[in-house]
Amino acid sequence: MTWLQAAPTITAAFLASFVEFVEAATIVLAVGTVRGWRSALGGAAIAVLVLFAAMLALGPALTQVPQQAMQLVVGLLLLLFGARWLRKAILRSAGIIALHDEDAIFRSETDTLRRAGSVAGRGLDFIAATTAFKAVLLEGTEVAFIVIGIGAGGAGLLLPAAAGAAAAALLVLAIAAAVHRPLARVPQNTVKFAVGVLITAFGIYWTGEGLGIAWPGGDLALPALASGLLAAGLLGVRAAESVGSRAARAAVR
Amino acid sequence: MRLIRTIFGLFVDDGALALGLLAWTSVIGLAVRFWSVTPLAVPGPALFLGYVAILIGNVAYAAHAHGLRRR
Repeated sequence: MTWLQAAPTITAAFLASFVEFVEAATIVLAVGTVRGWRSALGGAAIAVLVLFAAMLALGPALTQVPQQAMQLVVGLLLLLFGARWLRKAILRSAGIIALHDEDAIFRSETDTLRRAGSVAGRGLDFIAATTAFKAVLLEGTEVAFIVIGIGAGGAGLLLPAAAGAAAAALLVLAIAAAVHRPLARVPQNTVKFAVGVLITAFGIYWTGEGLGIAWPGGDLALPALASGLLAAGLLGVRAAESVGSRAARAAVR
Repeated sequence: MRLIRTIFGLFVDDGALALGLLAWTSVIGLAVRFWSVTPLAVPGPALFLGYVAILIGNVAYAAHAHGLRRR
């Protein structure tokens, strides 16, 4: 394994997981602040255990799938997943849809949790624990998919992908523990734009491999695809701004 | 049911975009399989350019629809 293969894998897994962990941390912080840390961290810990159990159960089954079929399935899933992120990031950059606001989500979540009654059982606040559990399980499922998706396409890529995600988890945990506030200053849309570009590039690359296409340049095709997608994404922002304002002017007339 | 919808939502936000990407994959897959499009310079770039065109077309359509609603 060369750095040319490992670096995009680690970067994509790190950035994508970072965004997911930030979103999970916002909810866990809201739960912990309003209803107590014991239930918030308890719910989050149970979700992490469930995710690990699911990955241990599914992992051996994935190794039984022939590599080309695996590349096609994983490639298509990464393509759909990445294109969804890239589309949203383009529309957010163009002002077509609202930006993701961690502070607003934190406020809304804390308001909801304050209004909710107390349903305590065996010392654990049920509402708090299930809210943290659901948030960590959902975002963690996305992280697990990203790691498996990026790592399963080629031999030896799972470890760098897992290392990228683990580094993101440690960084978000460290910042959240230090500041006890949602990580609102993270430029989420820029990170999501980059993640959309990288994940989509991986998706196109693995889909091509799964279809039996030999990429010009071999491994160098991956950074070339990412560069092309970045340029296309920026073009998409300009196109969306221009089309949107033209349609608005036409609608006023 | 909610779990299935949530997992589905991880991959599909806009049905037209997802269908377009899958349809283009099928077209290139069939071309590679049955018409022996083997020159290195053709199928990979064609796959990529098709996906880009579908994505740009989709965001332009979404922006147009949003602009019309902003009245």
